[in-house]
Amino acid sequence: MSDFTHKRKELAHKIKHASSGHKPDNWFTRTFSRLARRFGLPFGIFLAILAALALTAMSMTLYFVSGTSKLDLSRPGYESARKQIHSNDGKNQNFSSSGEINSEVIKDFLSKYDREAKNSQQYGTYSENLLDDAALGITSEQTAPSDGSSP
Amino acid sequence: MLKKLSVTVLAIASVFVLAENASAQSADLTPEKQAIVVQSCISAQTVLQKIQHNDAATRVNRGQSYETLVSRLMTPLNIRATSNEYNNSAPLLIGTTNKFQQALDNFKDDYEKYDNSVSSALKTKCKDKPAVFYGYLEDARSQRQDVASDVANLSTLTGEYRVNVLKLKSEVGQ
Repeated sequence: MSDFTHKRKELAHKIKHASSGHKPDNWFTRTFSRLARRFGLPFGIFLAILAALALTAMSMTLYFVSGTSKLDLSRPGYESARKQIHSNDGKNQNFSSSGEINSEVIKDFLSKYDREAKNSQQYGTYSENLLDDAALGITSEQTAPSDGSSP
Repeated sequence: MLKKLSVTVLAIASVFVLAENASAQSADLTPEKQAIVVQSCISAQTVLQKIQHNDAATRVNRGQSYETLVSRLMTPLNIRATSNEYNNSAPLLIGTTNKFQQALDNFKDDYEKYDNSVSSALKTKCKDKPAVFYGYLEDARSQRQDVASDVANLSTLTGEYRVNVLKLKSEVGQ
């Protein structure tokens, strides 16, 4: 029998099994069917737990790898940081991307733009001296360290 | 095939080893300085943690504000200027927006690096490894400077965009 004919028969066999709903006979399906018959519902529950653990591991990996964890202030210990968050959904700052442009439109845009630009300036600027030895209290003289508030 | 695979695995492993070494560099401390660090590092870590929490809030607030500027204001105006064929001002506005977006990406990346260094400094058992703790602290200082310069750059670009809007206004008035 030629190699081509053999492959064709193999493929036809697979298609037949797929369309008739019969499971192919291999080690995995045999073991799976045996365990399912033997343990029934507990086996199903175990599989569900396994799937949940795998999905949780995937989502936690994405949470840390994407850097979202760095911005998540709902973590324990970040209560004080949560209070500093300014609610800014930007709804009042919407500007339409269609329509004509005239001096009134630009005036409206500038008022929104200036408000938001001013808003962005009110937060800390990551001043460099906040991590100095003196600020952290790493000095030979015992000075009181700063309270860590970011200017 | 096997040879290629082993070379690839070795290359990946060496990258990880180098990255680990780069992030775990310890500082050269004099014995006196080391003694001071050992003596005061626990209280320093407490202050550092407060700074980390405040910085996280600042990062979120600034991030929200910058995203609002780009997505709700700059981009719609750029689209409007382009569709109305203001061919002198529209390229300027788009150019500044692209620079702003790039600066915003840099800000996010630099902040992440800075926060990683601070987290590493906080996790280090500083009484046992004062040089490692101080090394992370020095990394954090330099990375904080990068974040500060990103913030300054974004502020400059905010001003530049406003100037371009005024150019658009004069083009509209012509």
